[in-house]
Amino acid sequence: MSTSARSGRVRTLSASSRARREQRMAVKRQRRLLAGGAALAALIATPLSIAAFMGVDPGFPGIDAAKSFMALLNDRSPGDRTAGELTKTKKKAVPEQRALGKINKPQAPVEFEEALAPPPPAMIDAPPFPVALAGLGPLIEIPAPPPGGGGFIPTTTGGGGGGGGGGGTENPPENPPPENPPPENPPPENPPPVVPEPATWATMLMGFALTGWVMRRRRRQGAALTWA
Amino acid sequence: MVLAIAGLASAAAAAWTSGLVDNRSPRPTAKAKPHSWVGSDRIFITDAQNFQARAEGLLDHDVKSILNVTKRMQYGEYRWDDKNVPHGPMWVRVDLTRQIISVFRDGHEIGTAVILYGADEKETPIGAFPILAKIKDHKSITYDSAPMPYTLRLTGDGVSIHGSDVRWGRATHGCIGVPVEFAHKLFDAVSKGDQVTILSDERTA
Repeated sequence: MSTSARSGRVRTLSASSRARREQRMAVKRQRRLLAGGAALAALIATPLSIAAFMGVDPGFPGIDAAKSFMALLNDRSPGDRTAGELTKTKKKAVPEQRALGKINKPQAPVEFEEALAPPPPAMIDAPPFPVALAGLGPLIEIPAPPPGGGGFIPTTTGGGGGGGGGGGTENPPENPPPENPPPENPPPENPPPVVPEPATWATMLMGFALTGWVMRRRRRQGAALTWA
Repeated sequence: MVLAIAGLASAAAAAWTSGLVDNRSPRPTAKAKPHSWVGSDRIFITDAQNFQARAEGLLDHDVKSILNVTKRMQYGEYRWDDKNVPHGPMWVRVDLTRQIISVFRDGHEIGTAVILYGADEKETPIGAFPILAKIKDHKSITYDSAPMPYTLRLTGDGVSIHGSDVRWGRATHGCIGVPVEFAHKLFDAVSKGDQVTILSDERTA
């Protein structure tokens, strides 16, 4: 009974060590495959992402699906009718259907106007803590009231009203409106399309595939481990 | 060697992804139409593309597919292809900025052409108009009985789609001029009450 049990244990031990070695090999194989997959994904993503970044059409078939509807219509359009097109004379003139263009006063574009004459900042925009008051010791503890309004509000601290009033008058020269404010949000020249770039698609799908594959593998291996 | 593999892999990935994108669009009507129709003569429009165009305010109906016209069309040129397009509601989209008319049946584009539109002092109105009347051989009452074959009247004051000699450098008095043969096909295809949407990037209704 005992000998048979011992021999059985020896047999199971050798089997388990073999299983462990096999598992180690499997892990190594898995790592190699994973590295290979990652390298492949990087290789695939690189040319596509470069093409996408440079705005170059890679020229693969079926890319039209990623174009916007208006871009598709632009392809076939003869273009915008320019103002001078109807008044040019170096062509076969057909008087009954020709028409003179409207004369418009040229207007500066809106962004240009805004850059030339920035709107003056409102009084409320000025920071409540004037820099000049930083030198005064006791006054700096007082929470700053709204400029000019401090004198009317009976605060618990005595000198607060005077300080607030002074701050109100001193604020404007401290913070003059900037001469040339930088444009806050320059409109993006090429708004990102709704349809993702093919490179993005490829990379995402590669990632999903890789994740799924690894998860599948892990689960199968985990099941094998519990059996052994 | 590595570069070759990379190129092949990227090409495969692109084809795969674009195939994915392509296959999704014609799904709703894929059962009804023969397989050969899904070819190079049409470009199918996805929901995302529809959504984008609607967000830009340049589309007011969902489009299922458009004719595959990737080259710039000449003045007086038109395309008409309603092969295998199912019957359904008609609507016409007129794009003044792009100088293009598109005729849709059941969401599929069946015809497109370069148009003429109103010069600046007599601008073509923007908006959605039902076709008020169809007149085959119309002579203009306002403009010295100028021939306006295949007139589709859109407004009460006489703005209409009609056949004219579409050439570079011409304009109309507010009407939309299309090539005469195209006007004939359009005249036969639409009926009274069908909607015509006139759009422009710069102006809004």
